Amino acid sequence: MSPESFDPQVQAYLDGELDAGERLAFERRVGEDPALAAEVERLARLKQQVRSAFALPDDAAGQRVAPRHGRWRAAVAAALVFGMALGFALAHLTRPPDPGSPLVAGEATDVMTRVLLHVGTNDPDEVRGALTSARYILDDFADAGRSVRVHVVANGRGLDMFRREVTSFAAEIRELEQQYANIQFVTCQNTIDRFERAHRRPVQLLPGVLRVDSIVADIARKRVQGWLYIGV
Amino acid sequence: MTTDGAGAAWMLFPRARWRSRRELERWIARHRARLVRLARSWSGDPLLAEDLVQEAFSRAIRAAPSLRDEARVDAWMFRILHRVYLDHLKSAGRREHPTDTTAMDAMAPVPIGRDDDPQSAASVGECVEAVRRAVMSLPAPQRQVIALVDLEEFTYAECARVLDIPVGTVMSRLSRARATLRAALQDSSGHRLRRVK
Repeated sequence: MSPESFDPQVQAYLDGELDAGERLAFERRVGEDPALAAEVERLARLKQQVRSAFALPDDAAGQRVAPRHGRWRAAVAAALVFGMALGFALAHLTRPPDPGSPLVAGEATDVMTRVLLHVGTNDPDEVRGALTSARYILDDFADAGRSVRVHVVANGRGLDMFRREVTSFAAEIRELEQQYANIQFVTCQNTIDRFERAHRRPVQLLPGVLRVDSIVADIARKRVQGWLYIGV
Repeated sequence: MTTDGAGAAWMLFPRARWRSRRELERWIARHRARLVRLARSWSGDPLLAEDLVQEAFSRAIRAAPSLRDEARVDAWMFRILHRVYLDHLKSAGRREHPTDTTAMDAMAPVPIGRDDDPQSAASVGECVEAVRRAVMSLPAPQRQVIALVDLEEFTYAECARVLDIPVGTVMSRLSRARATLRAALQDSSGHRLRRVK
């Protein structure tokens, strides 16, 4: 007997293969179907296990990540310290294409640029700036015919941008999700757990926001995979 | 001549407009680490993985004139590594690999559970070993696909281009691989993996 397969749409969802409309429709199904939600959780866990089992070394010199949390946190801190400043990153990302450059000549690139926008604040101006930056990046790459994937990740006070009862950005986030297939909003289960313990009430997230166990671990992992990091 | 240093990269990508040598060195280090990680996940052998990547760099240097767009270097290098790996399988007269993953201890396990869970650390090594063993038990074509999608986060289309197979084949191999992994991990140590998570 062949082993039980995962639902193809669950796989497409977690592999980032659904467009914005499909993703929203699927997330509505997940919200209404506990069995489907459990299947999403099982595959997300399996993907995480595969990534963890074949982790990259924590630095360019080949130094290894020891299986100790202190060391892992140090690697995360180093990754964040060396993250790009917002201004530099945007200047680099949005530089007008040089017509003579092989980067833009001929057919479109087949490996996409990946950008992490990390929001750790609930300052409205900063959050608005991050969302505007996301739109700016997505539009710029689309205009240049280049592939890009943007993850807006929030933890700490940044969680507020995704909390239904307090956010003032629900409409803008929904609009971004509907307009662009290549943007994903992500938050941190550790932050949610801390909030719920402190306030003794559950966090209600906007639809479409994914959770990862630890945002800093997720950022560090993506950094070594070549994602550009922009801290807000 | 070294095949993994900045000097080789200057030969590889003569038209690249690197802003500084330091930036170039970072590029080399980042991409080399990714290639080695991928080769390890395919071969299950850290020493063989180093050899495969070295051979891939050597072939890349010879093939550099055919590279017209350095923005496509990622896919180009992964395709070369794929061909090197296929050649290795042919020369070894096999298409599969032993499932002994003890040689992979040189790879660095990281916590699978939450990073603030003090109970996670004790079982991390066992979990990592179980997942590696399950992955290495997959047929090589399935292992290649799952590594590109889950480790490199390639899209199905990117994966298809690297492996020179249809997107539908990527999807079917991925589906079979995940079903096998799910069954293997549930059968062997699923309860422990769930607890650690």
